[in-house]
Amino acid sequence: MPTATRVLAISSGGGHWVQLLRLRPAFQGTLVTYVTVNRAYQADVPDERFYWIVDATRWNKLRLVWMALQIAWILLRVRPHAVVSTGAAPGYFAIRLGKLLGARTVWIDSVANVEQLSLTGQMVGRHTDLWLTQWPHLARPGGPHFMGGTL
Amino acid sequence: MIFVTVGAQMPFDRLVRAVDAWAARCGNGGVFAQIGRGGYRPAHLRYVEFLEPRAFWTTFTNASAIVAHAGMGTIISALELGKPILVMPRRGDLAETRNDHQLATAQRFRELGLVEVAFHESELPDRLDQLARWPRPGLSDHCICGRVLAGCPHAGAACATPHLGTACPHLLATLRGFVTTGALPSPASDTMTPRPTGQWL
Repeated sequence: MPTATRVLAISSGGGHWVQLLRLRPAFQGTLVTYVTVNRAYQADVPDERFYWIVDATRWNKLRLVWMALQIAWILLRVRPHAVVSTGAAPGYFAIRLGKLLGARTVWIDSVANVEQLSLTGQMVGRHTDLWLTQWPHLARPGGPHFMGGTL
Repeated sequence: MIFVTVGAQMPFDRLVRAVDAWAARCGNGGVFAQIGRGGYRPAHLRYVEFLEPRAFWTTFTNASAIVAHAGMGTIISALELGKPILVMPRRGDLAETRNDHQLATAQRFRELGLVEVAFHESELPDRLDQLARWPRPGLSDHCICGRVLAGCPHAGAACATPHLGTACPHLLATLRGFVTTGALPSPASDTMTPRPTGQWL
């Protein structure tokens, strides 16, 4: 029996989470685990595995370290075949660490980043297998690519 | 009811103060605000710090108009429900968010005729007085690439937030293919079907 694909779908809160949810049909038939920074969002995915992690930005270095540790722990528990993120910092860590565990990785930059890719989106580019933007004018030959938007 | 929301991550006192001052002048009792944890407590309108997803969605659905930071989640929700929305961008230099991406979002979505914008709190009273003139769009049923968007497959399921739509089918197919098999899209699939100008969203 082939094992079902295990997917880790991870994002920050707010629009990042809303856009991640709009991608749900892509995960049908897989074993998806959702990870985000707000425990209340579990109500959006009541029938799925869900972890919540500390929220942190690049101005809280200690919290970022804690976030990275939490994500490492989740990755070791879930052992995903694929890591998908709509940003921001949680996705960056999940992709960098997930790669070490052999996962294939996807970054979809938020539709809110209209003029240029997000900072984390720029940083993660050379570490992620599928590197996407939601604005055609931000696509480049070597990536990020435009494959359609979440809205 | 006008629903004011600053998003889940941090307060946005500059917005709440300005709306509070307007409500004081207009004596408008029909304003309700979600002010964020530790946010400035307004004196002339009802407020909470935070709303759970179900309560947030109910409040959003019952509102006649939305006033918010230029956060993407709030904008998407307003467009999904066809609510007119006025946004004021958070500024990076005031440490209201990490950079000025909200400014770019606000400008672009205003150009697309999807949101009303107050770039500075001094513009808020005028915009609020002219609520009737805010754009009243909805989300398109087409992606910018030209493909039709499908409805939410979870309609009727026990989601707290009934997601009224999903992403572009090409993006979903690309993602699904990669996630399940590791197959990367070919460079040729990068191109998009051109749409007549001004017709997307």
